[in-house]
Amino acid sequence: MKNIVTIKDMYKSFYGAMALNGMNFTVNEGEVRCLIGENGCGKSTMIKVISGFHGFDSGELQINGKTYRKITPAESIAEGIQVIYQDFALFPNMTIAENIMMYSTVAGKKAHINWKEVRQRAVDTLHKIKFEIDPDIYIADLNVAQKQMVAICRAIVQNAKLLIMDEPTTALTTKEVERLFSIVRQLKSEGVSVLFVSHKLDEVIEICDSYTVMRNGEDVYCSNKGDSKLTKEEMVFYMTGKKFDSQTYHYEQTDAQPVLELKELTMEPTFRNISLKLHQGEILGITGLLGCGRSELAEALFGLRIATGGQIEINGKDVGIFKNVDDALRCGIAYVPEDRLTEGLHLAQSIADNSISRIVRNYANCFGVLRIKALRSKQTEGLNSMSVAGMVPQNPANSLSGGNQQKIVLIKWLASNPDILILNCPTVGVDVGAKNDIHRIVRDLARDKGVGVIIISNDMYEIMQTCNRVLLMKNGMIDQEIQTSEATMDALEELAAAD
Amino acid sequence: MNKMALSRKMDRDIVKMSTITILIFAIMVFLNGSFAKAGNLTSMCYQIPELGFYSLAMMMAMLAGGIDLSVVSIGNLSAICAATIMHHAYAQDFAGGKLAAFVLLGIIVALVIGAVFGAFNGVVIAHLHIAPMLATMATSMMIEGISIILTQGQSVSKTPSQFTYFGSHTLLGIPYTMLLLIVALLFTAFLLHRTRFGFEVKMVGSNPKASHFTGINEKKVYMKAYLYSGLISALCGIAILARTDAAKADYATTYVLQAILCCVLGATNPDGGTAKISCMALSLLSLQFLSSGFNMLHLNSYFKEFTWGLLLIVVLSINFFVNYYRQKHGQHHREPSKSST
Amino acid sequence: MIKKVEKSSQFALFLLFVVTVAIFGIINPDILTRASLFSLARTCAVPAIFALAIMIIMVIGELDMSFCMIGAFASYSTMHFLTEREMSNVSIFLVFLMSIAIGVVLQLFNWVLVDRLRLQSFIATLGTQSFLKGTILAFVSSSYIYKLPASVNKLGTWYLATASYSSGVASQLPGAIIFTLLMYVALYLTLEHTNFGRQLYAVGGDADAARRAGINVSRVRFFAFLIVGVICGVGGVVHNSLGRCSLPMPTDLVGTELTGIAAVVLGRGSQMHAKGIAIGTLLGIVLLQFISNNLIMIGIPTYYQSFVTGAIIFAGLVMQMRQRGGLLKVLRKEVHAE
Repeated sequence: MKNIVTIKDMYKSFYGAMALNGMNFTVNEGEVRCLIGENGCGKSTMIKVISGFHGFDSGELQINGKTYRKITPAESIAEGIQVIYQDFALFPNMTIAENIMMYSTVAGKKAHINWKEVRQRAVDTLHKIKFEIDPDIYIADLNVAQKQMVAICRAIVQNAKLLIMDEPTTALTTKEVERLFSIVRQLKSEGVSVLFVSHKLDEVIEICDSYTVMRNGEDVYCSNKGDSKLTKEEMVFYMTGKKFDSQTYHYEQTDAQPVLELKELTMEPTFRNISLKLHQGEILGITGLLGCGRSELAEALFGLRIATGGQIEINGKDVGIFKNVDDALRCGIAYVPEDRLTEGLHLAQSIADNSISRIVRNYANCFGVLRIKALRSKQTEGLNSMSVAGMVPQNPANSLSGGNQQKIVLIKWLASNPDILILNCPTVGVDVGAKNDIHRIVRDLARDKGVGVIIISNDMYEIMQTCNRVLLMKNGMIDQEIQTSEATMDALEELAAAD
Repeated sequence: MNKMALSRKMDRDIVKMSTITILIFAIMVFLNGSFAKAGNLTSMCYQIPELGFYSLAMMMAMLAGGIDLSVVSIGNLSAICAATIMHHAYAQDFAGGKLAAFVLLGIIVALVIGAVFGAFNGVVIAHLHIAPMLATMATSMMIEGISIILTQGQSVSKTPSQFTYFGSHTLLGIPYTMLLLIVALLFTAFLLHRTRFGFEVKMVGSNPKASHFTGINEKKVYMKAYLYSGLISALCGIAILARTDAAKADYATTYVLQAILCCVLGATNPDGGTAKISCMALSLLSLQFLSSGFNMLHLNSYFKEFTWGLLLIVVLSINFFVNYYRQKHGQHHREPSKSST
Repeated sequence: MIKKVEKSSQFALFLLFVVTVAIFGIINPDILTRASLFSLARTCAVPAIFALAIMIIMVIGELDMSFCMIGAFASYSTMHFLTEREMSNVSIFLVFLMSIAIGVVLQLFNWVLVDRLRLQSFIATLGTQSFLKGTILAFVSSSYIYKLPASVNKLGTWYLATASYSSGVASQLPGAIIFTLLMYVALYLTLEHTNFGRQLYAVGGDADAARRAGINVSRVRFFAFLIVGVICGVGGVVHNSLGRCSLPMPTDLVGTELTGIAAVVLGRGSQMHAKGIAIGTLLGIVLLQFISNNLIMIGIPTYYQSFVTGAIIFAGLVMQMRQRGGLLKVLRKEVHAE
């Protein structure tokens, strides 16, 4: 069987951090291969090396039998490799038709543009994947799923040999995922190989013939077509390097007043009638497929979005709904956002300044003048509260690794002694060691300080490890409530994926 | 906490800047013996405040992640309004308390103008979300337009000598306007290092989104930053009026470029989030030394423009190379670049 | 056809143009005479060329504060060189060629700053502008050149038609506008119908996505700056020919930088689609010149011009941001390069 892509012993580092650490990888003709790994394991880097966007430090790259020391995006496309990136890389200022035909136009190198032909071929391709939409609409006006369809069209317009899809289902509903899978199967029957990059084990098992598991920049497991499949637990073991610990977080239910209670909280059309109770010392998980409204619910609980109906009660007191972040802060809520690089940290500012950015206001008098000495000692206290490897307080925050950065974000929020801590996908792109550290910190926080914690995540492993109770959201509403002590990770995944 | 890292980083920029300043001073003295004489030093101190105030205003806008191209037009408009009011007192031959009142009124009106248009910039940038470069370009045109309409292109002059006294005399050997600048610099430094506002401006300048997520009201911060910029610009207009006894709609528009140069040379990051008053003050001195030195060598003013342009490009390029090498050997990740339109 | 026009990004601008002309025309019908229109064309000829230059820069997502100065520099150095050597009988082509060559070299210098060193284009080109102004005034000469080569004068006095005002004063339609219109047509066709033109829009839309599409972003920027250099060189010569003298600094072009940017901001339409910006820019510059030329004809003194122009740019910017949904879209999760 011929190999389309072969990677041997590849190393690649970014400014001192190793992204690829001796990676080996192949994609064969006519297969749907999955590249599995946690976020931050180096999957995206490898894709970008294959597509020519990045170079590599050492190792071997072979495409269609040819060895390349450095490949350009144009050459990669010429070899028949098409990538659908997570952010699609579409042009917002151009129409659907033009976007679909863009790669072909550039590769074709013809000087003149035949608009009639462009539009016709775009329409033909849209028709091929049964996506009906006006090709003259501009990309800026589309939603995520529509953009993805356009990106897929763009990829298949040229005779792609290998289609690489980087986490394609992140923003799709169940129906849309099914449509995507049928397209993948259709392509496979037409002789196109597919590299499906994902960390969602269910999808991997459903769609792939073979897979490679990646961890910390290298391949740790590889299976081929026809080999027996791994169990989910085995996959998790390979992905994380740790055996799944069946111990869950233990919480004693008391009749005390809930620290947070939501009554029919609604934000049309994203979520409706959300009612839940959170007690002191509890770790409540909220999960569901993306698009179920869990992220938006978290943001509404922090004043980043404004709910349209229902009410929020803090310690029994009705506070209405949060109109801005200040309202939430006043109620003692802290929020660790999903994207620490753009939402959680000021990368160019020092680690020390980042760690106090939340509480600075508490050290200002009525004129805004700060009590510097007190602030500095609080800074020291915060930075010493967790072990953060390689930390020099005055260095900018971007000098830390992902896991350590997340710890700083935690320090920042814990400095305000919150009563309620909401974490949104807290360990995305974090290495295994830091991930366990963070889980431990959160558990200790709940158990010893009585903080009410909500963890929003689609990482079932994380949910099982930290939460005592899980709420499953579907299409904007709470579907089920599960006690983790009575469930298994597999069962949880099944429930989440079921329609 | 590793205190060593802190002092090492701070020293690097200040040391670099101090070296440059001293070097330029030395070269100028070498080329012209009377450069270091008291007469020249004092005369430089009369000129420094103009660029100084505009640079300070520009710095505040840059720190917040933007830029303020309207500093000069705000300064000129403020000066025009102040001059008009004060001229009235001069023409009517007021004296004593009445005169003082008018002078004071003129100053207050000037400051109010600065605050109002500064706040206007703030609203446009914070609430209408227009890119600071384009927004302040447009407001600069409109403000200059207003100045032209008010003065019909003529200059307003003849203000009371009790006012212009402060533009041409010294206190303990230092010109009053220079003292005012020093006070403004110190106050701004205090604002940046010791107040909540200063902390928040820094944060918003480096990442407005994360600031919002931390509960910082970035809109308020932008408003305050541009308002402050407008106020300082107005202060500059008053200082110019005191020294030259004239206010004109298009006075010294080259100060915009020089202010940007002064900031960039003085360790202000044009992308926002970092600024050092000490380095900016040194850069101000350096530019003044160059300017005065050129005058003494009888080089015409065009030579100055040549130098400013060249210097700006060279400094930006050096910053690029330094960052490039620092990134290659360090742990720093590249931040997404910003587009200008 | 109506639907297509309505959908076009520049429709709102076109409407604004028609309404403005109508209002001015009603207040003072003298504005709509042939003589007046010829005069408008004459005053637009050069600013339109320079607006075209900054338009290309803005299409690829950058700014340039030095384009007027580069035009003036290129042309002045050419004229200075020729008159110093008493070469007053050179062909017009040679004059253009020399000016273009200099313009290209200077704009490619900007390219190095903006693309290779990734400097903020506004600040870097502010430096270039000042540097060039100082260079020519301090090192070459500061005197106006009145004795231009014969061919240049011939170009300046080449008229397509003449008309008279009611007062008897004659107004000529200069042949130079043919240069302007030809360049606009050429750029329009390039931007809307060629691969290269679409790549320009692509780089301006999302340079990262363009890279992934296989577009050589640096090369695209290189050619963009090169073309801008050509336009600046041409503009400088046309400017000198119409003015019948060569100045070492673009003192009467000084406002043109902002007017050019204003025209492009108006011309790119409120939704900033990758379509029709050349038409929009031309409309924009004609509109702005029309207003500033004719304010006095409707009784508004000339010193209102600055404010009116600034207010128009301002209004254009506000409308664009409101269309784009403002910061919300920009704050949406952006994926960052690793």
